Amino acid sequence: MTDLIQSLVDGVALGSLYALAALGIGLVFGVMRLINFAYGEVITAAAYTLLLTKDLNVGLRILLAVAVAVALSLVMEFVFRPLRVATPATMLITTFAVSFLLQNVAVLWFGTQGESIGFLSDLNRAFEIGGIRIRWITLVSILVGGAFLAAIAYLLDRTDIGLQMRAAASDFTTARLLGVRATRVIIFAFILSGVLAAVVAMMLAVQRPLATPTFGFFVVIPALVGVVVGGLDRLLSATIGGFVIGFATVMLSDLLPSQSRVFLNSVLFGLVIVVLLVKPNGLFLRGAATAERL
Amino acid sequence: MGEAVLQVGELDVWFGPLQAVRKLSFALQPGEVVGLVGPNGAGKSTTLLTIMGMNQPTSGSVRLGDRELVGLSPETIAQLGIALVPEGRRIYAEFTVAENLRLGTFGRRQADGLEADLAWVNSLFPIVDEFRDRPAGQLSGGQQQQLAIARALIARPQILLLDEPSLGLAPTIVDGLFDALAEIRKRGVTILMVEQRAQLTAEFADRSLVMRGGEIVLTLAGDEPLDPAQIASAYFGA
Amino acid sequence: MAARRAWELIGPVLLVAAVGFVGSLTSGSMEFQFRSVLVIATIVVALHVFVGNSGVISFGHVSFVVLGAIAAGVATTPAEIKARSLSELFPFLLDLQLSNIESLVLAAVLGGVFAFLVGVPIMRLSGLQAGIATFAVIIITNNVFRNWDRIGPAARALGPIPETTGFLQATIGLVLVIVVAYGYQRTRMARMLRAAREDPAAAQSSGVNIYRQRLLAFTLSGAMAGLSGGLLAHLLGSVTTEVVFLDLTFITLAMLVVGGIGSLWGAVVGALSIAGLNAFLAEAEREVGVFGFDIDLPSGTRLVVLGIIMAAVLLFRPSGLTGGRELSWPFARRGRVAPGG
Repeated sequence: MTDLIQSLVDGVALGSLYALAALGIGLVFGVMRLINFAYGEVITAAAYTLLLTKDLNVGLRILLAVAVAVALSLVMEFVFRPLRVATPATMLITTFAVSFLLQNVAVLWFGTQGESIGFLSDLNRAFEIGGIRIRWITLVSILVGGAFLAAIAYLLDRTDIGLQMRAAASDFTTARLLGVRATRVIIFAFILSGVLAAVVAMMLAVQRPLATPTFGFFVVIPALVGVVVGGLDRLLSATIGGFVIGFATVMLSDLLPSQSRVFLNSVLFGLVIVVLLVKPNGLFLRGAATAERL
Repeated sequence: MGEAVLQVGELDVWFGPLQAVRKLSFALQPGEVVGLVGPNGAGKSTTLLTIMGMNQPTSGSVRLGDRELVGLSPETIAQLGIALVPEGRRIYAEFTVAENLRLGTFGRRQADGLEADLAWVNSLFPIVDEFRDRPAGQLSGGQQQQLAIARALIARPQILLLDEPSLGLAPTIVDGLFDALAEIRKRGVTILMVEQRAQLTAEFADRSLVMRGGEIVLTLAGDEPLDPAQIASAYFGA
Repeated sequence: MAARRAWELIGPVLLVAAVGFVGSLTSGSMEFQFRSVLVIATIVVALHVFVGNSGVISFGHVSFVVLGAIAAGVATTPAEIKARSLSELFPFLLDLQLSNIESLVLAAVLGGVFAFLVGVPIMRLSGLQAGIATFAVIIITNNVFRNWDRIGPAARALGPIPETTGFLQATIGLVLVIVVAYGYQRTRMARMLRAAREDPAAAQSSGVNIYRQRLLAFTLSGAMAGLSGGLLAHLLGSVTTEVVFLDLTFITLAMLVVGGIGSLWGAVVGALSIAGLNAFLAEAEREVGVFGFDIDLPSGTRLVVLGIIMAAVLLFRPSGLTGGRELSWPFARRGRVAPGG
């Protein structure tokens, strides 16, 4: 029983991390119809920033990590502008190419070995409640994840820019006809997703303190799976999808017999294919399936 | 004739190998209501969308006052004072009525006067205020059309473009719609409307332009008695 | 007219023959690079048969390549070595002993069968969904091969595999896939598929079964990818699952895109030019004099340069070097545009 509760808590923690990454992907997809494979490299950049600023105080490190992630995100927005009129295939390959390019820049710069980031590692200590050991970072992940999700939900629901983003995500052409500035909305989406990337990088850096060129890539891949499984067309469904994948990853790896745990990726990606076939618009998208818009 | 508020000159629009609009020229006078009628595929909607900057013409100009609009983005054109009520209304079904209306305010040029405009729009279309917290998708077709027009008006446009406003509406609802348009006209808003219902439009408008094959083939003055044979020949070719 | 049509086949074949011939005059590591160029171009042409004709992107083709490579490798690695280093293999795999050519046939057949099985469900998807689904396929394939030691080397290296992919086999292999790709492209089925690529609704309403045509192209393309995997195994002499994974997926897609998606000529030009550049940079990373220059690039530069080129082409010339058109008859009047792929 305590084992199960332990798994549940860990699952919620990883789930909130993936939910943040999924939201970062979903925000950009919403306004641009672009799946950004290179989102992982924004996370990686924030992680390397934490590594390079090892000697500074924590507040400054956080600030710089956010600044670098947002800056890289904005550069991507600019670079991807020609893609606004491209076919989905071109979009996918291009962001894949940029992801690959940045990973190799990191290889060139830092090597493949990985270096210890050393960020708030005290949070890995645990406290005990009723026989369950909970690491502080687990609690922090859940709280920070929840806080950011709530903040973005508020922003989308209550502010002008949030309304514009939702409108752009739902019907981009009409939004522009009403005077919603397309470029401004897209830039804003990239900024938000950059902030989220930095948050994800910080939470991860505590738990997996090794900065490698694929640091972010292997977060974004499952998050992307979550986004697709949950349903791309709504931010909420995409975010829930991200959460579910994180949660399921922990559950499966705790429940599967140890020799089959290595096949976790196969199970997850097999699930993706099944969902794509059965509900191409996502599991958590209610209402009539819209015609394929791609 | 005074100074035209909108001047379309020698407009050519191509979609790949097809020419949708050819050498189209017309002008709108301030406060004028002009109908754009003609058979399907005549280039009417294309004309509206080109004015809004959604299509790039291969040549020709669209001038708002002395400002050239060709090459500007749709959102810039919207903020310069032209509002389009698109075909099929294109309201945001999952947003509330109030949110739909709020989206219209992003096209406003000036911030002040919003209260007064809102009051006017609410008096014109009471349902917009009455159902403000409902998802817009729950409104009836006629109510959605009212919302779409309200959303365009709240931007306080100089020129209102309407694309098939009566499409799919019952005749009594269409009458109400034209009553509202008459109120809007009284406010001095210049209106360019694309309509299938040529008869109704020609009676309502100051002028109607009959388009076929991307060109204006006939101009009808509003006070002229309509000659059905003449219209038919303009629609279908001699 | 016939000459012009044939030129679409003869042009690429002549180019490949020329590369093969020039390569056979070189020696040492440069010679190996030339052979790799030919084998990688084989993978790209295989990829083109599906992507070029259907317009659907596939991130999954390296799955068929890795299957072909491991199958050919397992079938030709000496039994006594397998018994020692890969003892967990299924007994029939431990006993399997094929000749070089047989192993290539096996690779092609398995590639085709695998592609068919995968294609049956996922060829129903298009656009973004197809891209994600094929990406899932390569992840699953890699995950299984890396961890299941009964069917392959898992995390270890497979080998020694007889290094039989010399210039003759590499060139013949590439010419073979080009001829098959050309032959397929001329069929009515491929024309229907290309029509569906341009206008799915119109094609469907005129009775084209898009799903069936895609599945056929995917299977054929998978068989060709399997064959190239076999050639790759016999080129490298040893294979790990990591060598045939995302890097190769990326590089082969890059080649296809840079050449121009949609035409055989684009696939061949893209593959040869990028693979050539790749080989040159790989040499440069090892500090060699090239054309009188001493170039010493840090390792990793190669992939960065390729990444930049690929991203730049995608962003600024999405139709690639050839514009996705077939090679036009060089003696035609100027100013005439060749018919699209």
